[in-house]
Order: sequence, then structure tokens, then C-alpha cells
Amino acid sequence: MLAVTIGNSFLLLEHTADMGIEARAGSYKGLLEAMAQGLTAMIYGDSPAAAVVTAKILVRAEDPVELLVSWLNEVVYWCEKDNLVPAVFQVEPISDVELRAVLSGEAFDMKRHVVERQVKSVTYHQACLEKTPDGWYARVYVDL
Amino acid sequence: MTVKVQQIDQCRWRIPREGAMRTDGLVFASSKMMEDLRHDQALEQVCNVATLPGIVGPSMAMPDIHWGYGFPIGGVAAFDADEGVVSPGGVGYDINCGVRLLRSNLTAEEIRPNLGRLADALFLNIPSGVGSHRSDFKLSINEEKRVLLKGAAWAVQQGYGDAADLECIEEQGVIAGADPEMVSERAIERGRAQLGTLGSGNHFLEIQQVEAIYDEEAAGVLGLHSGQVTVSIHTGSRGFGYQVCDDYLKVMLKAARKYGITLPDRQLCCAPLQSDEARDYMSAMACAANFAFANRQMITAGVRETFERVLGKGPAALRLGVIYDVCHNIAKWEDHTVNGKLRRLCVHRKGATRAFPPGHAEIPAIYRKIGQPVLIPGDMGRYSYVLTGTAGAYEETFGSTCHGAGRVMSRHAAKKAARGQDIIGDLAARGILVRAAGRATVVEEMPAAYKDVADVVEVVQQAGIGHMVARLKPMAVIKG
Repeated sequence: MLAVTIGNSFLLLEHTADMGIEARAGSYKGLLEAMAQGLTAMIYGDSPAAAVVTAKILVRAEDPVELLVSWLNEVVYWCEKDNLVPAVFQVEPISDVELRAVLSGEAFDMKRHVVERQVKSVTYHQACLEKTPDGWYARVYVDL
Repeated sequence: MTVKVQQIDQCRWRIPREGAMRTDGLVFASSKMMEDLRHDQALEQVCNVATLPGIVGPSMAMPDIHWGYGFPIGGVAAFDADEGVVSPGGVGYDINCGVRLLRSNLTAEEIRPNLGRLADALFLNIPSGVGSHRSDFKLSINEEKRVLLKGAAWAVQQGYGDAADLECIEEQGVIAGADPEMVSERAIERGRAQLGTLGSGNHFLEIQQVEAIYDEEAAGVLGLHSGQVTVSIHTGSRGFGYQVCDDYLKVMLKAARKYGITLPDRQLCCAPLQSDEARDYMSAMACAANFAFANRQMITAGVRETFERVLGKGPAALRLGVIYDVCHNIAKWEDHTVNGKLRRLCVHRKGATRAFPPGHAEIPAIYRKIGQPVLIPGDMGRYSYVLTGTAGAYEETFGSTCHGAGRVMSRHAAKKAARGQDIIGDLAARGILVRAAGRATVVEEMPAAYKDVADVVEVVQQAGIGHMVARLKPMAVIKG
């Protein structure tokens, strides 16, 4: 499968109709943050954003993969709700089924930001999250 | 995974039951389409759907099949009322994404001098793009709940359109069984400012002209003639529907564990149709479907108002009437004859359109002798089709057919192919005006990113699961 490199920590994956995100990181916290950065790049490209406003997020799930998908869908929700372009994600894993996060960013400004595509939702299709010899790996596909 | 495929005839392919599959797969495609399909994961998804409990008949895919998430896009699967399941992934996030077609009393020649002004005004008047919302109103929570219960009729009661519009909408614009109590606060919140908005991605509003007529009699019944202006609206339930789907996927993941259902893909999570989880989802899904019907009704009112203002003509002169409005992401309770026995089934159509035959009681009386109108949008550079439902579709595909062209190129591949091209300029040179919120969408939605919808429709016609009536050519396209 072809992959497009954006930054160092995540890849945007090819899909016939939609797209995927894949990330590797040394820590579980870093992985969740990298996946959210990938999602932001999918929506806003490389639009620069400042950490002006923040949203505090608590996510609970039944298992680690559901937590990953739910976390990313929280990011989609906050982007839509507050018309927010995220700048920084600070994730604090509580367990493998619960996390707290602070999302910082700024309101979308047509003069400085570009919307590359709309994300309807992050799906469970082929979603995975695993510990690797080097750290952590995750992948999701996104409905566009 | 390599999927074994056996050719049945020119446009049918069987995937024999094996492993955990409970039934065969049946794919409608030309040889060329099948060659392309072997390179992505859509056929594997047909097999995955075939593993779900209570599936009746084969796991099917229409010729616009492509790799989706869970179900393939173009997927059709029916489930037994007692032993089957409902899967939110078999409906999709954009619940009741669909197409509405309006006829007019105008000719292409007549509006050509004002086409640019019409396109500009539609782009301004109908909110489109990512996160598009209405600045003129935001529904109260109680009012939104009335939308969820009444669908398109709510919009008509508020003055957005005429009662006559409702007759020509699938289910008359309201799916029974909606219960707003089954919908989360977050879904309600996401819907409040999004009613009457187009959204982004492959959604569009298009001014078209009738370019070819294949069946004069059926076209006459639909009120279509050569050179006439039509308007297509392609959108769905917006953030409201996405949230309903997301909420119920979590419910269904838990339900699948509770009821011991083995899932080849988590996105196929589901619950037995007789369970509380399934009943709750069907009620919430109906709310989202009704939101989408109201959404397309409000956009219709916006189109009418815009045409009246720009062209300086009244409703009687324009006669922008609804030909039909179809859902193509939905699960519905329907009665079908299977092996000579009438059965109550839950038919999932994920990127597929209902195509009921002539004489069916659920078709508006004015169309009953020709069959249900079926609206098949193509890409923004070529054409769209109007078909009618057939007895063949009713017998073989639970009354279902294709829903569009189907993507053939990934978004990255489209971007790469578009490098150095002026897509909007090239389309303008061919007489097609494009108004879009951003260049990115236009590039990813470029005509070459899609199959030629004529190939899709040809397979449908050959297989007898749709009947060609007319071809529509784009004149102006509004993209989000």
C-alpha cells in the first residue's frame, strides 16, 4: 500500500474512497498524540495554528482499540463544534481504556487556514493498536 | 486474502461460500470492473458481510462497488426478521445520504446567459463546505426533535416547499418509528445549525440539462424532455447522522460481544433484530433519515428561491417540481418473496438505491406504471442518469440497484493526477461552471477519480436491475 509521509510520526494511507492514518511512537501517550496530529493534517493540511483556546476531553471505552477510535472522534467533534484548528494535543492515558486530554488550537480563519477535506468519522475498519519491539503502532481508516 | 470469483455471465460474478461465510457473494460487474476489483479489498468485504447471522440470499454488490469500511460501497444485504441482525456499518455514517432531482420549465439555452449568476447565487444561498452551518437560524432542541419525527413534512410546514413535494420522496419523506429519545444530546447539538446545508466531499448541487432520452414514455411520465433544465441535490444527514452512527457503533460492539457474534471486521458490529439494541438503533437511524429528508427539502426551497430571484420569474413559470428523492445509505424493513415465501426482511443498502418495479404499492401513483425513479449521479465532468426500477431487481437484488459512479482513484492519486491541471478552468471551457469552497475538494473529486457512470449503468441495464430513461449533463456544479 502506498503511503504519504507528512511530518515524522504519522503517515496518511491510501484508500479508494477514504483515507487512513498510521503512526508509530516510543510511548503510548506519544502514539495517541501522533494519531491526532495525523487526523489534523488530514483535515487542515499543514495549516499553522496557535494554541489560543483549549478543550478538556475525557474518553472512556471498552477496550484499547475502541479508546483509540473514540479519542480521534472526540478530536473530529471538537474541530466541528468550535470550528477549531488544533495546534497541540496533550494526552494523559489513565489506563488502556480511559484517557484525559487537552486539545489546544485556534478558531478557523480563512485567510490563514485551509480545509483539505471533511472527516465524517473515524471508523473501526481494520483499526489496530499494538505494542511493538520499538514502541507502539496504530492504524485507523477514516470516512470522508 | 485471495477471493475466489466465478463468472456467471457478462455482468454477474459469484463468490462461492467458504470458511465462515453463511452464503455466497454476488457481484454485478463487467470483466474490466472485476479486473480492477481484484486490486482492492471490496470483494473481501462482500465475503465478510456474508458471515453475518441471518443473512438471506447472497451478500451482494452493485457495479459501483469499491472498498468501503465494513460493508463495501455498493453493498446490499438482507437479514431475516427473527434470526438476522442490523449493522450501523451497513448503513454508514451519512445515514440517508441520497439524491433529489428537480425538473423545471426552463431550457438550457434559456438559462445559459444567466448561468454564472445562478451558480454564484446558489453557492451563496446554500451553505456548503466543511462544517457548513446556517447563519439565519439555529433549531431549538424541541424543534429539532419535531424534524426528527416528521422529516420533510416538517420543512413543508415551515414554508420550505409544497405538500405536493412529499408525494415524490421515498417513504414520502418520513421513515416511521423515529424516536428522538434514542438519540444522544451530542447528535442533537451537531444537527441544530446544519439543517439546510450541503456539506463537503462528494456532496453537490448541480444544474443540469437533459442530454439524452432512452425511454420517451417513461421520460414523459417523469416530466423530462430533451434540452430541459434539471437540478440535482446530493447530501444527507450531516453531523447529526455521523454522530448517531458513531454512538450506535459503540452500542453494537458491546452487543456483538453480548450475543456472541463473531466479527471479521469490527465495523460490521451488529445486534439481533429482535434485541433492544437493534430496536433503539432503528429508531435513531429513522431520526437521522428524517433529518436528511428535511435537509434536502430545505435545500430545494433554497434552490427555488435562488432561481426566482436571479431569473426574475415566479414559481408558476419555473415549475421546479420534485421528480423523486432516493436514499442510498439506509436499512429498511421490507417484504420480499424468497423461494416462493413472503418474508419480512431488513434490507441494508450501503451505497445502493432502492429500485422497486412497476406496479409496486410503495411507488407514487403517478409513477406506478413505469417503476420507481432511480437517480444515479456521475462525476462533475460527465453525466448523471435517471433510471427506473425493474421486476428483475425486485426478484434478484431485493429491489436494489447502483447509486453512482464509484471511485476508482484514491485521493492521493487524484491529487497527483491533477498536478499542473486547471480542473475548474478545463470544465469551464467545456461549458461546466464549478463553484467550490476550496480547490482541494475539486481536485479530489475530479472526474477521472470516478468510474465512468455510463459503464456502471450499462451493467445495471444488462443485468436487468435498472432501466435507463434519461441522461443529464452538468451545466453548473456547487461543491462544498
